[in-house]
Amino acid sequence: MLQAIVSGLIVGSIYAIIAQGYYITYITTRTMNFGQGDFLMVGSLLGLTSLTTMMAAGINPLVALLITMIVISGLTAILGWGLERIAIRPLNNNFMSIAWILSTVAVSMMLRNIAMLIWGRNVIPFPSPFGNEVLRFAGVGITMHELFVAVCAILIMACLFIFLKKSMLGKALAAVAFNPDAASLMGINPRMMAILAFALSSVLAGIGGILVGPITNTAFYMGATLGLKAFAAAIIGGLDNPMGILIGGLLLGVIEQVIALGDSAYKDASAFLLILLVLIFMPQGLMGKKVKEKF
Amino acid sequence: MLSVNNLHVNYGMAQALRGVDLHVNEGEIVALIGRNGAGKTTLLKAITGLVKVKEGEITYLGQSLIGQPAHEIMKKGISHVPQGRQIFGDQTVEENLLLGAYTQIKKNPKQVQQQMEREYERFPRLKERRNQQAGTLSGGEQQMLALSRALMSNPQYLVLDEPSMGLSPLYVKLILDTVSQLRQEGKTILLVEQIAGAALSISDRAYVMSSGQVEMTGNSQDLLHDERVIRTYLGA
Ligand SMILES: Nc1ncnc2c1ncn2[C@@H]1O[C@H](COP(=O)(O)OP(=O)(O)O)[C@@H](O)[C@H]1O
Ligand SMILES: [Mg+2]
Repeated sequence: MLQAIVSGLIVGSIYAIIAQGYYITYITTRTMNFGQGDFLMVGSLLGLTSLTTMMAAGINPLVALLITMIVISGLTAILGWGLERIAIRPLNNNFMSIAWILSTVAVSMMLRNIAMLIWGRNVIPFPSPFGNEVLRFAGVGITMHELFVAVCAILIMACLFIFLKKSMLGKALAAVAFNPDAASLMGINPRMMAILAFALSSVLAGIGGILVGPITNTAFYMGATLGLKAFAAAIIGGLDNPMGILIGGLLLGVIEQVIALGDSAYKDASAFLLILLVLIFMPQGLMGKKVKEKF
Repeated sequence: MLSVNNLHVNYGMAQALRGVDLHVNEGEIVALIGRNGAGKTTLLKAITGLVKVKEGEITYLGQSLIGQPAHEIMKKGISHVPQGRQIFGDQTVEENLLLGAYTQIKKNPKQVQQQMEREYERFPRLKERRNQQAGTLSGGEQQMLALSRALMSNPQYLVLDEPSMGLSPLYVKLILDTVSQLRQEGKTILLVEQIAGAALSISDRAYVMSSGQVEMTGNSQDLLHDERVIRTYLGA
């Protein structure tokens, strides 16, 4: 049981990282990347290729991992920028229109097919750069990689919260989210903020891909379930509340693992059952803001 | 320094502005009055780039503003205090002020700090509430904040849209006194006001708008004594 909770927290923290990407684009543009899971897949497969290439060249695994994370961040940021340009901006969106859903799904389909052509149809094992050693604390086994995920998750969340709450750019993002016209009167370019939001969201997916790879292994179709589960975490937590999303992700991870103790066939179903329950009883999400008047 | 010629703006099929001409010289306070729906807000939004112009010309310091986005026009030194204040309600008073200086905070952090001190001197109430969520301020305090936020970028030119709307008489006086004070500080001001009498008494010249057109224009003192203005806008 304790083992299931610990594993659940680890996986859940990855869901939360990916889900923060939904939050950032939702608050700034009222749209989301429904291909977030496939951006994660791209991060994961590219990460795997970069990591194995460098390790084969004799580079220290940890150095290789660090370089890979930086490179993948850069590449996924560019991907996010491109997505905003081709799939979001031309549509003149509002949350009620569904054009952005179709366009981001279309991009994700393209990515999935390209990935299939490059990496093939099979599941590719993603060896952890930390090896397979398992540490034991009080009867709970945890791999070095899981420990690494936990540390990364804490760092990423801390950086994200500090960025959103304390930096000038974070305040500008919040201003655009609150009132884009008033923000532009302050000299803030709402389009730049939309690009920033999508780039950031994609980087979170890409990093999530590197973190999740050694846990789930990789394949061109891996994004579908992971993207949906992260979306579930965002809905459970409340799309406009980053803290709620963090809790939503962790909760989902733990519930999944605990249910898998009984029968692993119900693992994925449990996630979606949880969303349904939350939507029925708490449509704002667990911690979402109540709809409130602006003035 | 600002001139608007034959300006047309449409919202879909509806014509909001139908050939407006207006100019504001350096150092002036120019008032813009007219009934609800006359097109005053639309005119201000066209000047600061928030609505698309269908036809006509707007020039500022000899440069055309047509087709430029709001965040670029703002950088030329035109600050717009929008109707309904539109402060960022989920951020603090101080964060709102910092956002007002968004374009300068990296280049001149010291200057921004000084400007913030000046604004806190102008409205000590804001200083008391600097860490309070702006959305929880009273209407009068929100208007002070909207004004100070617009001044944070130290603009040359201020466009004010009904700053006295919904305020108690005490706050109306405070805000309008501040507007006069700002002219002393060297600002040029275009002021939209519902309270026509007050607007005419603090301005040099005025325009009266109706149905998307300028109906009358002239010296504010003359308009204050004009039969038609008195009958229609000063409400006897
Ligand atoms: N966003 C909008 N969409 C459609 N019509 C608008 C919009 N904003 C204003 N209007 C219309 O344009 C006209 C001028 O409005 P406005 O400029 O707000 O007038 P004022 O500020 O003088 O009250 C009005 O008839 C108003 O109904
Ligand atoms: Mg108006």
